[in-house]
Amino acid sequence: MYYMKLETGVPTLDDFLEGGIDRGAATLFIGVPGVEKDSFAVQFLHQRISRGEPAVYVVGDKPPDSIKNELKSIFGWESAELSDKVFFVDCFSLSIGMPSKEKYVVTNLSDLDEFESVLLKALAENKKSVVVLDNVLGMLDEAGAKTVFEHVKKWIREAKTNDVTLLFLFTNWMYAPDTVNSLKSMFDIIVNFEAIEEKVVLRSYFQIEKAFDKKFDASVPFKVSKPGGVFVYVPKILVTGAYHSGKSSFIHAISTQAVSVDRLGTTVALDHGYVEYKGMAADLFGTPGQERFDAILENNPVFEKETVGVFLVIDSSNPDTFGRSFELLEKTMSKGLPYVVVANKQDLPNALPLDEIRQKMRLPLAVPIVAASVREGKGLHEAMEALFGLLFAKKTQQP
Amino acid sequence: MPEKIAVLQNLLHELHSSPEVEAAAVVRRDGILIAGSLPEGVDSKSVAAMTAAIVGTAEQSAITLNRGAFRQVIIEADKGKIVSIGIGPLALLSCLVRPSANLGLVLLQMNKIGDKMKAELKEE
Repeated sequence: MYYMKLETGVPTLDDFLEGGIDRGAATLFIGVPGVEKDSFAVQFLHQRISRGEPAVYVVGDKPPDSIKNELKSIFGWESAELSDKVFFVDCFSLSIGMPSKEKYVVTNLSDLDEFESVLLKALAENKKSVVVLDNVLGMLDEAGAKTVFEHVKKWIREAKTNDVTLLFLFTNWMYAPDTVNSLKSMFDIIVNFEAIEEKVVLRSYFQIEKAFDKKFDASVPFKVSKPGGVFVYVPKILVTGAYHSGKSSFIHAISTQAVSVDRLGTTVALDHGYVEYKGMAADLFGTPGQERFDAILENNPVFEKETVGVFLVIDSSNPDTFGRSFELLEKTMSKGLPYVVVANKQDLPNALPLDEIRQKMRLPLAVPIVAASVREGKGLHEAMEALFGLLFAKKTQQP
Repeated sequence: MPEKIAVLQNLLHELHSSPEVEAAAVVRRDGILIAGSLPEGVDSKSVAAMTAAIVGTAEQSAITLNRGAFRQVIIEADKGKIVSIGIGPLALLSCLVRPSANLGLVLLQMNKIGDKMKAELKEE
């Protein structure tokens, strides 16, 4: 099959790109040192080779084995399986005096002409493929941006001539803004990678700057799991709601691992769960519902600080508890945060239908309400998709 | 049930007779006060809930971090300590202890009386 849009496998990124990276496009992944751009490239690679499409990976500042190891630890690819699927242009091994057994070898990455001839050969011999250039501009300081960028323009032209979809990874080692902008101007799609320190913890974000003539304005937090790959990641989602609405059960049902501090059938402190689903990952924090534990909710950083979104779980068969649900939103200082109402216990005969619940709760139309039955395992992932949809809604700025 | 409460009150009284113990309470593990004397001006319901939350969390931590069986949780503050132990599957015993207290002795007392309370709570 010949795809026009090539999935990266990272949900929000693919949404913004309306399916994926356009075939034949030149894409730039640019970021500060340390943020895992190459995990995105490896994920993209995995998507392509899984569909039987060949790929070329040009390694500038690391041995080919490190990419093969990532493919293995994240996606389970054995080295032997890769030999006819990914062809490496090894610009690293010889420079440190090691031999290379890769298909394409560059002796000296500083020699722009040598590098270019090998690259062009690889492009011509792998038409219609995906080619990743991973930090190949080591010679930038030495040779000067002007010269080097003329070459980059040529590489992009040659790639398009060969119907190659080019992914260019570039680490921004504090280059001048003019230099960076000059590089950016050559590409159709630009994704920025940042690491932001938030109260001691370093979080990684990707931000799609532009895709052809569309500009965007959204920073998406992510993490890389091994195995698993790149996940859009929310570090704290609160799960709250009236007593006995099914908060703890919801967390345990949706999470890959979860723990509760519960005694005699009720949560006395909290629940915590971690979920990974279809490229989305989150840490869930569940509150107790019983009023006697309200003192624990108030002024409690575990529930209040850095909460990004909320699952408000309600017992669909018990409308008397709806008011208490809102009270809990307030006590956990979550009013104003994006939230999804999980209308649990829909399996019960006297469960109210969604539109009635919406009416009784006087929910604004913008608040999604998802039908669920934790007992039957229904509605859990729909709830997650609804909340992630709220959190990372596509906001386009037309130029 | 009131007889049980009476027995528990007496046992709490015994605990209280030690000069180092300022207050004591028996709390159900899900946060309800069973019996107890807490200082003036203290919201006993709230304290019961918090004690249950603290012990619950402490126990879970001990398990998750492979520390073996939970023994007690001790909160140390400027004006004194709060010591809590489990007394069977249903309840916990919490004491407010003076800053100068000999913790070893207090714990010994608490465990001795705690065992009696455990027996009382068990009888069905």
